[in-house]
Amino acid sequence: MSAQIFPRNANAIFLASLFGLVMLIVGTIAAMVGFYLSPWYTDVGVAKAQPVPFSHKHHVSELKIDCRYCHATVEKAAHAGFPATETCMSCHSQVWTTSPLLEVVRTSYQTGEPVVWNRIYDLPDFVYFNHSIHIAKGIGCSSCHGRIDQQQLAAKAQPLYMGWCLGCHRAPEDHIRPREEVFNMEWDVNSLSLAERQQLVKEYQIPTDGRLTNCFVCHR
Amino acid sequence: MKYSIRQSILARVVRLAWLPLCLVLVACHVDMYDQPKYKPNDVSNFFPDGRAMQPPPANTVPLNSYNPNSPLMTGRVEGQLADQLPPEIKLDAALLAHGQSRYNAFCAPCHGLVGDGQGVIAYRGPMTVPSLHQDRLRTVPIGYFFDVITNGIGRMYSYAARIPPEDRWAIAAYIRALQLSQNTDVALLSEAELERVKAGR
Amino acid sequence: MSHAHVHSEGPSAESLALNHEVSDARSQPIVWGVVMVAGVLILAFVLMAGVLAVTAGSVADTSNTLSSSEATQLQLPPAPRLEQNPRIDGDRIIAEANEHLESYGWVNERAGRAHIPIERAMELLLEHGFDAVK
Ligand code: HEC
Ligand code: HEC
Ligand code: HEC
Ligand code: HEC
Ligand code: HEC
Ligand code: HEC
Repeated sequence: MSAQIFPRNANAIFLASLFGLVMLIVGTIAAMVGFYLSPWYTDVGVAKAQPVPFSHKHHVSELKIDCRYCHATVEKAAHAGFPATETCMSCHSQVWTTSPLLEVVRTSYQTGEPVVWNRIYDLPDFVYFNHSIHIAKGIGCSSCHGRIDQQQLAAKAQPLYMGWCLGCHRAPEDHIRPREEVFNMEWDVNSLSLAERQQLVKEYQIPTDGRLTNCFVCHR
Repeated sequence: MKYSIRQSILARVVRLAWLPLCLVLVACHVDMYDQPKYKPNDVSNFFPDGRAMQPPPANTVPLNSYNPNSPLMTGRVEGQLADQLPPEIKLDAALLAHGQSRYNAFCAPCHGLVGDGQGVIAYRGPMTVPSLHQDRLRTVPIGYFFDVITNGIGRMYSYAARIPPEDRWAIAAYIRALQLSQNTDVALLSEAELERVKAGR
Repeated sequence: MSHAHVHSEGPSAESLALNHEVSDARSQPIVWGVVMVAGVLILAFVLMAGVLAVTAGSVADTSNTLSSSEATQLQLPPAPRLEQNPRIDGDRIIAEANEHLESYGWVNERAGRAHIPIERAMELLLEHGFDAVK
């Protein structure tokens, strides 16, 4: 008979360490998922420093300037674009002309050196995105960018995960609104019944046969 | 004998061949996230002014587009401000509706939704904005509005960079509708409408 | 097989032959284990709280690039203050303009000039052309 090489409590230690190992793996995975979804990774809700402390809350919600005044290409092009210095100066050549906060803008206008805004929404380069189709098919700015009119400094409202894009491409009726309301920040999806929204999907001829979730729609 | 030892060593090495695959787990995927290409509004360290989106050189027009000297692009016929819409633009309900949305987005902050110069920005001051409901502006040729949007006037900046020519004509046509709405000859109205005018509703 | 379980006075010959352990597990190490896990959890919690207290500040703080004196300036514009509640003023201006654009009324009664809803004006313009404006 071979000699006993394990001490008496080996079974207990084995069970405890088995339990510990499982907990460690589960815990590590949970921590990684948590980190992946948290603002430390996604930047959701984290305002970035900008060369000029530009406030959407002030300009959009209080001064009632339309998104297109500054993001003029959003209906026609893939990119909404950032406003040119000249766009700011069309007002600020006469309003707040001596504000120290606008020094950067004035210098830029004089020298032609562009103001470099820090990007907040930035998809990986292997994803193709196009604003104009979404605007044309009745997807409002606030469906993707949240209530930017309530933010002093802009911050992300969405981590821009693929699952989020796909969620809407599978069921656009959960987010669609009439075209006239696309720039309305206060629009509430529930002000139309589901049936009315499905009607809109049909009217705007949005394909519901799954074509919109094909990989090549976004990865081309 | 020798052969089989070597074989077993080989087999052991082969069994470890999956190890490099672990690198996939830690691989930095930054190369595909940030590809060496320019997207709009990117920063460039190739062009001296630092922008990837280069402004078009002076005095150039888009290839194969319009004749840059046509009334559509200049608002002028033989040097004089056009008093009709150019032939490419048809006056219809769609044009006016389009003009309305453009006017409300680009002009209303200063000129007001009504065009009385009392937009939200003008209200805050110190900018003073003229009303569009003046006799002089009611009688100017329609090309004047096109010209003001294209080249700016006095303290008002040019909007040519943001509003394409077709949209400028749509705005000009809509301004005419605005002017009409604030100064209608009652002879054009029906009886019922006259009643409402008198009642002020 | 079954008779092995009923014997209460010690391990069966069979289990001895198979080198099974001959006594029940002791509960003490298990209790200790649980206590240690709980202790490590609490320690980790305290550690994380410490780490977050140091690093989380920088996450929230990026929002403010102004020196504090400029920041207070932002909140309180110098007198005379044009507007105390810009949001409500903005809403009011838009609402009044829209109401004006949807109603009838006199502009100059003696000259026979009225203001009419914009929708109607667009119809009239299409009907009569630009000359109707003069
Ligand atoms: C007065 C000009 C102005 C208006 C009006 C305006 N924006 Fe902006 N917007 C900016 C500027 C300048 C930036 C860049 C600075 C920043 O991120 O805050 C910006 C940034 C953004 C961004 C973040 C872009 C990024 O990825 O960095 C979004 C999204 C956005 N705007 C949406 C909107 C929407 C929606 C509206 C209409 C409700 C709107 N904006 C109206 C000037 C404007
Ligand atoms: C349509 C007019 C308009 C445009 C376009 C505009 N602004 Fe403003 N902005 C204003 C007005 C009006 C105020 C505030 C005046 C007040 O509070 O009484 C203001 C205030 C500001 C302030 C606060 C100034 C201070 O000292 O408190 C900043 C900063 C600013 N704007 C930045 C910008 C930038 C950057 C742009 C270009 C992307 C821009 N604005 C475009 C009208 C405009
Ligand atoms: C379907 C979702 C969606 C809608 C609707 C949407 N956006 Fe975006 N927006 C995005 C995404 C995604 C990006 C990042 C694009 C990139 O990185 O290439 C973005 C980027 C931007 C930017 C940064 C500059 C740029 O062009 O990349 C601005 C400004 C912006 N959006 C404004 C708007 C405005 C204004 C509207 C409403 C008219 C709007 N967006 C509607 C998803 C959306
Ligand atoms: C809130 C809803 C919504 C979200 C979120 C959304 N989309 Fe869309 N997307 C639509 C709708 C609706 C269409 C119009 C489909 C059509 O009619 O062809 C569309 C169309 C597109 C198209 C053009 C399809 C084609 O073949 O012409 C692309 C590309 C696209 N989306 C990319 C994206 C990406 C990338 C994201 C995530 C960053 C995204 N979308 C998020 C609703 C959404
Ligand atoms: C509606 C647009 C859309 C469609 C359709 C789509 N994707 Fe994506 N995909 C995205 C976006 C946006 C991301 C970036 C997510 C991120 O930044 O984490 C992405 C990321 C990915 C990634 C991750 C790359 C990485 O390194 O993180 C893979 C792999 C991928 N997509 C594969 C697919 C496949 C396979 C399909 C077809 C079944 C598909 N995608 C369809 C929008 C889309
Ligand atoms: C930033 C505020 C602002 C915006 C936006 C603006 N304007 Fe003006 N506009 C002015 C000011 C200020 C003047 C007076 C210029 C002067 O006389 O120095 C003016 C003058 C005019 C005039 C000339 C009036 C005359 O007496 O001859 C017309 C026509 C006009 N604007 C049309 C427009 C149209 C059309 C738009 C939209 C595309 C627009 N404006 C947008 C501020 C603005």
